[in-house]
Amino acid sequence: MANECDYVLFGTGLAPLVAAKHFLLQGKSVILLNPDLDFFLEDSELPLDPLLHGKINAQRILENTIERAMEVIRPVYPGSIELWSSPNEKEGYYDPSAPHLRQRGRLWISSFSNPHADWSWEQLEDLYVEASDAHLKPQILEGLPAIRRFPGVAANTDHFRGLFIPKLCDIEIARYRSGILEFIRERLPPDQLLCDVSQVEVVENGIRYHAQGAWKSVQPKESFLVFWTPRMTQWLTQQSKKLNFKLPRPKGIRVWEQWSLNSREQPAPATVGLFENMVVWADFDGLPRFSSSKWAHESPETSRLAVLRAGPLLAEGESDSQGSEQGWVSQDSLGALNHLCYDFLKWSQFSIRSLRAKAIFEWDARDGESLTEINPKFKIVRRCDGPLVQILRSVRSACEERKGD
Amino acid sequence: MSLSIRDGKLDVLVAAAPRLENWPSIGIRTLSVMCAEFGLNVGQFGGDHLKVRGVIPLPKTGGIGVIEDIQGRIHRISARSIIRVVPPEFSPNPFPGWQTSGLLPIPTAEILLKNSRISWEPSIAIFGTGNRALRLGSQLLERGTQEVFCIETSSQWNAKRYSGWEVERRRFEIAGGKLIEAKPVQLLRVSPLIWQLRLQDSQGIRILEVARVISAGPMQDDPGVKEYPPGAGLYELTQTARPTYAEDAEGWSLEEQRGRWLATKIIRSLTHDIHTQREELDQTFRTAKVGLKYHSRHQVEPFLPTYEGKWLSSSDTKKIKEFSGVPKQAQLSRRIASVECFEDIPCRICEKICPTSAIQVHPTARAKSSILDEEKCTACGLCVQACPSGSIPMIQEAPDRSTSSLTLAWRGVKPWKVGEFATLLNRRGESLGTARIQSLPSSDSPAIQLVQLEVPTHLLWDARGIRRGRSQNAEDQNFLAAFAKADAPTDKVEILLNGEKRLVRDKTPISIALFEVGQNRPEDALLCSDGSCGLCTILVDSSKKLACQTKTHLGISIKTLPASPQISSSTCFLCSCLEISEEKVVDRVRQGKLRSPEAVLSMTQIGEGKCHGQLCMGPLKRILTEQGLPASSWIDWRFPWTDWVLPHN
Repeated sequence: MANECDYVLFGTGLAPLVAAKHFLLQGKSVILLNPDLDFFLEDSELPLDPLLHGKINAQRILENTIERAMEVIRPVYPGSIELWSSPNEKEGYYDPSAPHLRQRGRLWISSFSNPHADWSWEQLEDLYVEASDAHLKPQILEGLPAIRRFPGVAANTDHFRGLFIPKLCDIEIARYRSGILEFIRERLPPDQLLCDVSQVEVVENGIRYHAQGAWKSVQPKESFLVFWTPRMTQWLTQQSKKLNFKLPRPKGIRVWEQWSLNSREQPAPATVGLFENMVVWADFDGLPRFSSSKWAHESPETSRLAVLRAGPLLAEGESDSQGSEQGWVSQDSLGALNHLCYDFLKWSQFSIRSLRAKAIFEWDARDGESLTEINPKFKIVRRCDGPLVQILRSVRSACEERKGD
Repeated sequence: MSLSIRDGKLDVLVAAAPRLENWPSIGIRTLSVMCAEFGLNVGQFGGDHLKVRGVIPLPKTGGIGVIEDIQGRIHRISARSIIRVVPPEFSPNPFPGWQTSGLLPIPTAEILLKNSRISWEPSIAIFGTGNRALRLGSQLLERGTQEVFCIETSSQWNAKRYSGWEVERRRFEIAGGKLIEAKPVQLLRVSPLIWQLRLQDSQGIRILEVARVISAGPMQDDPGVKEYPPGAGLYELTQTARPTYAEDAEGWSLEEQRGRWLATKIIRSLTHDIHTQREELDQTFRTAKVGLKYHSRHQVEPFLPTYEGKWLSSSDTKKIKEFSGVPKQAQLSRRIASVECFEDIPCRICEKICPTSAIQVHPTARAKSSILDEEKCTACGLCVQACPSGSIPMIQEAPDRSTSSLTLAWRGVKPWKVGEFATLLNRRGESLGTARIQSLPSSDSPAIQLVQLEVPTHLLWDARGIRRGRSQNAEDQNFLAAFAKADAPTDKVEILLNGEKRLVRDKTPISIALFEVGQNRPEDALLCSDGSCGLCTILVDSSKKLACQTKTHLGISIKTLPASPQISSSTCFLCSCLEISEEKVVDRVRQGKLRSPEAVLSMTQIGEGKCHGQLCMGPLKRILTEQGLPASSWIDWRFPWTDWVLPHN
């Protein structure tokens, strides 16, 4: 006989956890199914909105300000969140294991002749005007004032100008996810929070799946929500063929490479820089630590530069095939790193410490809501990958739409 | 500026991880040849000229290997199946002092034993009681080190040994080594050349004063071949073969069989049209499986003779005399070799060297026929010299006389003279009595002396080793001191080390020179032959270089980088690069109920420091396995494998 519960949530990563927390606080019963071994194998989440693609306007920037982000992040998270905004801020109670929400300015750098930029200086000027109207206090910087703020710059040069918008945010994803997971674990019995679930099928009376060495089934009273990240695509495609429904199609899958470079210079921690199609920031865990040693880059965690580079947009389906090989560590990506470090940052040498390859869906802005209803009891939540703030918004909106039903 | 990258495609890509001893080793060669014979395109990437920067796994389609050639050009090779070849893991579980310069992994110790003049006195402690640990211990003792302890730190003794262990233990104990079971508590430096190792055993705390501690392992039973994620065609193969067969015949053979087994698995998954060759492939698969089974025979049926006091039990003596390698009749009339290799050992050195084919030790031959053909043996003594474990003596038994003849191989530094008296030892290294050196048959190897002894007949089947009597200790020490002095290098040059003048050997890798002057750092511990670990950076004449790849010369100025403050005898970090302790990792696993190694990496950042997990990943996997995570079958595919200096265009 099938178990009953209000919601069955199926997905990897952060999104199903956030939904589970939301429903638990509503007093609903939830079963959470994850095909992965645990919730940390999903790596399609970003700590910040890169602000590289899509429509970049004042509205989108406002959504990434610390105040707006806190409106989304704070209610979802069950513990304390540490705020950090400048290197000198260290007073008061401090929880080193809490997720850190960092307030950093965003600096778009453009050379006076920049053929590679995804956006032109005219676009940045338009953005400046829009941001000023939205009271975001943007600044146009030229020459040394612009270049000095960019993280990791080793030599001054006056061939660049930039648009600086203060007080945007980024957050530590792994800690954030861990905190929500702990909250869920305390409230859900082990047989309702299941990892390593396989052969999940939508059957007439509910959901059938294999977990903990046995076949089980569950009947959702409200609905079965599937959180669509790239790892779930194969399952969703199979279901669309089996149940004969049409999956909404994303624009494609964007290949992202998050490089971590050893930096000779101590990168400015309070600014996130954008150079061509790369987002650059000082990489640290918790609060930044600095060393006065000449060999600063040899001491733990002191001088690492994170570079998030947007790769090609692959057509959906291509990412699973040989086509995806074109995306990772390509001539373009290594060339771009070289260009950033040698030509722009003026480093004499650099080494690569790590690379995290991510694949993230890109949806058309006209696609509308994140919730797609296959039938009254089977819904797909999209936009569960990408910047963390966006994921939380998508999940919240999907959950609240359910509540309204 | 654009960087030129060459793209390529293969069916099978074999990629060398950092710190491999030899490339391509026997397992890789076997695997590559087999795959090529079935029409697969195979590429081997490693060695000095092709540095593998890492692999990006694409579990549904194989993966991409990123390789840098000697000219700094980057090659991006996509392949349907990828094999990462890794060195065996030697690090012990963390304890205070485990990452100090007093602890060396066994490959480093072997290089230093062969190529350096560092002191191994007064004693050496080795973590691990596997075949390789015992072999190194025997070599140290034979070179004059007074005491060597092989310390088993885990209770699963038998699970980590493969065939040949019994003969290695016999050689080690005859040479004077001691096997003990204990857990390390702390490693402290008490003087520039002496370390104090504190151990916890069943009796309490035990203290050893040692010149160095060598970490040899195996610390856990290792399957040697892994696939991760399961079914992805992405494999890891552990290199067990040493550069030459004679150095470690079992390791060589083990890797060869693993390579063969893995090749059949890959061929089956990548090749669909093998109808005509299926039988051949199945046969190869079965042979490899049987070969691998022989290696683990010791774990299933160990031959561990029992003793009654100093004497072999009568039942085991009978068993030995009935063994097919031991002569039954010929020893009563003449001298003859006695092949006392009781386990199924893949080593076939004696078989290969025997000029009359009197010895057949191949496993299939063992099962079918006698190992020793008494009629063919001419007592030439070549097998006695060749056996790396000293398990072949030559005997001539005279039951009607008080003395018989026993010929053994002597590998010690001080040679014997005719007429000298030696202390006879049983197979456990215990003294049985004395014997006179009767003659010294000529030997082909300058490092090995054949010693023919006149032994009491009743000791002929028990005595299998010799050493000098205690009364000769002082004389021995004087000889060794004089020998070391005579052997001391004369080609020393003056260098500047951190601003101080030092005399070091000329044209020696700086890493080795640092060991010789007692200034080695924890970063020098890996001492890889090709600089692939990238950790031993120093300033040479103001430019940054790798100490293992740069040689000393007159007037060179060397500056070592400041030692990491987090590495000391009182701290116990699992990852000293990022100061992460074992307790922190275990807490994270328990609190977060983490179920995958990836989750642990993501939550703790472990392995993201300068060493890229080269020092801590082995202990981490063991800790995670103890916590119930599937870490023993997991492969860390993070990219790149070591810090990668991206070249200018």
